[in-house]
Amino acid sequence: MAEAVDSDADPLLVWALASFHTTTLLVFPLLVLYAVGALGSLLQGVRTVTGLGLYLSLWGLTFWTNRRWLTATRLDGWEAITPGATWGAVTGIGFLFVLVTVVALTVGEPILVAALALVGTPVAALVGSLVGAGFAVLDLLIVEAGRSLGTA
Amino acid sequence: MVPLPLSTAHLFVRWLHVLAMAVALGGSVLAWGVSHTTSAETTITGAGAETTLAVATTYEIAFWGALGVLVMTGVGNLGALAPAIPHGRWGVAFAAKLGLLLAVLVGSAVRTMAVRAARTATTPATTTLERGYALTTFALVVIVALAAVMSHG
Repeated sequence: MAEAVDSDADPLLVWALASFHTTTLLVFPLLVLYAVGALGSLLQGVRTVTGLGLYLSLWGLTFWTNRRWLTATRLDGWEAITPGATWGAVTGIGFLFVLVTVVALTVGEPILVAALALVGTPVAALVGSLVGAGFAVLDLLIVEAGRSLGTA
Repeated sequence: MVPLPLSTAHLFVRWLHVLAMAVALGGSVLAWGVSHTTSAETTITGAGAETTLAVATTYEIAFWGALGVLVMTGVGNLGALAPAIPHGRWGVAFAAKLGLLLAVLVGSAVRTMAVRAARTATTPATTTLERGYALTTFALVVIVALAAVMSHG
């Protein structure tokens, strides 16, 4: 992981990017799932309160990992991608544990929960790191565009 | 119109959804208005930029909170329709709404970073911010119009 370069990340930057990541992470797959006709059956299995709880967990988790990531990087070069991938993996594993907890509370099958955690952890880490790296690239482009637009 | 089973939880989710859009859209109109009215003052004295950036910074914080809540409650509203999520005219409006929302999310991330850069710039680009808030307002109005099509046909 990169060495910390800032004692505390800019709160506006952390809040905006964490919210941007969380919302985009939901809206894009939602559009794809609707296009392939799989959205209805997926949403049918999730209760409203559970869905809201999962979303808030992802938002909170993304905020925390983004804060750690943005404390470790200035977002002014490609070296921000590696810590982005690392903290993306942390987000993926963290969210998997939230999901496993929900399954454990609702289904109550210890073997299923253990299997889900065991098989899911490397998958969540891999997917999380890929998403984290992808968002890091996108964020670098966005921050650069903002820099050139915000200065007259 | 697509009928929804209106339990208390669903009503609360819909109320939050409307409230979040009111914050996002109302705030963008306010930020646009403030940046527009202070741009002349900025040109003459340079004092208007401070007001624009103070309002813009507050709006950016509120905007991302509102968008987070909008997406969360939007999925909640969809869940009330599941498993029979409609297609046809409703589906076209829904897909257009989500596509435009993605564009708003990316565009707003750039706008927020522009505000962040302007706060530390010796000559902040307040005219660019004014255009950004105008564009945000227009895009959010179109999203509300698409939501009206989905609700009322």
